Amino acid sequence: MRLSPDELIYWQHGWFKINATIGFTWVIMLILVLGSYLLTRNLGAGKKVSKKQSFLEIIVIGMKNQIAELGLDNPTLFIGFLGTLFLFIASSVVLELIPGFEPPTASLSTTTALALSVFLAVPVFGIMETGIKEYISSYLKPTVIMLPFNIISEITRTIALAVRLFGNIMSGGMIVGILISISPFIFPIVMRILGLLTGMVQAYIFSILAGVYIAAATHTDSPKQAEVEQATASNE
Amino acid sequence: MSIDWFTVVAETLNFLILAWLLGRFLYKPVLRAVGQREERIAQELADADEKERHAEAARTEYEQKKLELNQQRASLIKAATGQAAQMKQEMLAQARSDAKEQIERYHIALAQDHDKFSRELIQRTQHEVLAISAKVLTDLADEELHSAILRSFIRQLSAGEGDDQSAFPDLEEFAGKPLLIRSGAELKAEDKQQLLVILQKLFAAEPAVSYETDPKLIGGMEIVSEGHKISWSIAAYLESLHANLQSLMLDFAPESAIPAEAK
Repeated sequence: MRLSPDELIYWQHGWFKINATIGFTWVIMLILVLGSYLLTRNLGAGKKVSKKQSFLEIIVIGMKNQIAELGLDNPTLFIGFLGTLFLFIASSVVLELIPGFEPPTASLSTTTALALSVFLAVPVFGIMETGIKEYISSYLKPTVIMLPFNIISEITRTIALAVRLFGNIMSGGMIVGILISISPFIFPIVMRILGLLTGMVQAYIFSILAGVYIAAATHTDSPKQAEVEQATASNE
Repeated sequence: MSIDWFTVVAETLNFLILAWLLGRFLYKPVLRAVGQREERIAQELADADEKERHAEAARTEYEQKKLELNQQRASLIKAATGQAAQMKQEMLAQARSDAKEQIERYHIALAQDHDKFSRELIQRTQHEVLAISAKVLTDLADEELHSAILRSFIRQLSAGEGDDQSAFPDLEEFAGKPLLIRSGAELKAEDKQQLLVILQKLFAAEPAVSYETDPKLIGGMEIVSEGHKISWSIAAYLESLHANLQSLMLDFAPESAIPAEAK
C-alpha cells in the first residue's frame, strides 16, 4: 500500500523527478488558474452582477472578511497568500473524490512545503508590516530569556502545521482505502463525505492558523493568537 | 513515509507561483470590481443625499411660499369682504335715499294730481251745479239764473242796510269811489237799474259804475273798487263740497299715497 503520492514517480532524470505530488499539484494549479481566468475575464462593476461573479465575490469577500477578523489590518495584502492556502488545500480535498486523483496534500512533502511557506511568510509579512527591528525584538519579549523558547515555538508550530494537515488528509484516504478492501459498498461513500468535511475543516484550520501566525508577527502583542489556537485545538 | 526534499522545494515553488497567479487572476480582479461597485454605490448614495437635500430645501421653500400665499389670500379676502360690506352699506343707503326720493316725488305727484283732480272736479261741479241750477231755475221758476243771482246779491247787500248784521262789513270802504261790477253773464238793463238803486241807497249818492262780464265768475258777482272787493258766488258752496270730497277721498286712499300736508 502506497502511503504517499511521492512514491509514484512519473519521470526522473538524476535528482530531478516528476512524481504524483508535483503532477497533481500542477493539475490543481491549472484548474484554479484557468478557472479564475475564465471566470474573471469580464467582470463588471455595474449594478447588475452575474451569478458567477456573485459566486466569486462571495468566496473572495468571505476570505477577506475572515482575514480581517483575525486582526490583520490590511486583508488585501494577505489574501493572496492565505486565500491560496485555503483554495489549494480545499480543491485538493474536493478533487480527491475523483477516482484516481492523488491529493498532493496527502504527501508529507506538500504539507511540509506549505508549512515551510508559512514559516517563511511569517517573518516576511512581520517585517513588511512592523519593520525589521520591531520584528526581531518581538522574539525578546517579554524577556531575553524567552528568545530560545520563541524560536522553538516558531519551529514546532510549523512542524505541527505540516503534520496536522498531512495526518488528516492521509488518514482520510487511508481509511477509505482500508474500508473499500473490507466492505466495498455504501460505507466508503459515507466515509468519503466525512473525509470531505474533515478535509474542508483542515483547509480552513490551516489557513486560519497561518493567518494567526502572521497576525501575531504583525501585531507583536496580539491577544487573538492564544484564543484561536485554543479553539483550533478543541476542534480537533 | 518520509519527506522528499526535492518535492518539498518543488511544492513550495509551485505554491508561491500559484499564490501569485491567483492574486493576478482571481483576487485582484474580483476585489477591483467590488471596490469599483462600492465606490459607485457610495457616489450614487452621495448624489441621492444631495438630491434629497435639494428636494428638502425646495419643499421648505414651497411650504414657505404656500404659507405666505395663504396669509396673503386671507388678508385679501378680509379686505374684499370689508370693502364689499362697505359697498353694500353705501349701495343700500343710496337705494334707500333713491327710494325715499322716488316716494317723495310720487307723493308730490300724487298730491299734485289729487289737487288738480280736485280743482277740476270743483270746476266741473261748479259748471254742472250752475248748469243744473240754471236749468232747474229756468225750468221751475221760469226765471233766468243770473237774475236770481243778482237778486240774491242785492238781498245780501241790502241786508246790511241800517243794522250791523251786514253780509259785507267793509261796505263803507266803497263809498264815493268808482265801482266796477263784474258778473258771470251780461246783466239785463233792469237788473243794472235795480243794482244801481240799491247802491245809491247804500252809499247815499249815485256811484260811478262800470260793468264787466267775466265767465270765470260762475254764478257769482263782485264789486271791485281801488283794492276792495265784495263778492258772492256759488264758489263758497263749492268749496265746502270740495272739502267734503277731499275728506271722502282720503278715507279711501292708501296710507302711503296720502301727502304729508294732507295728513
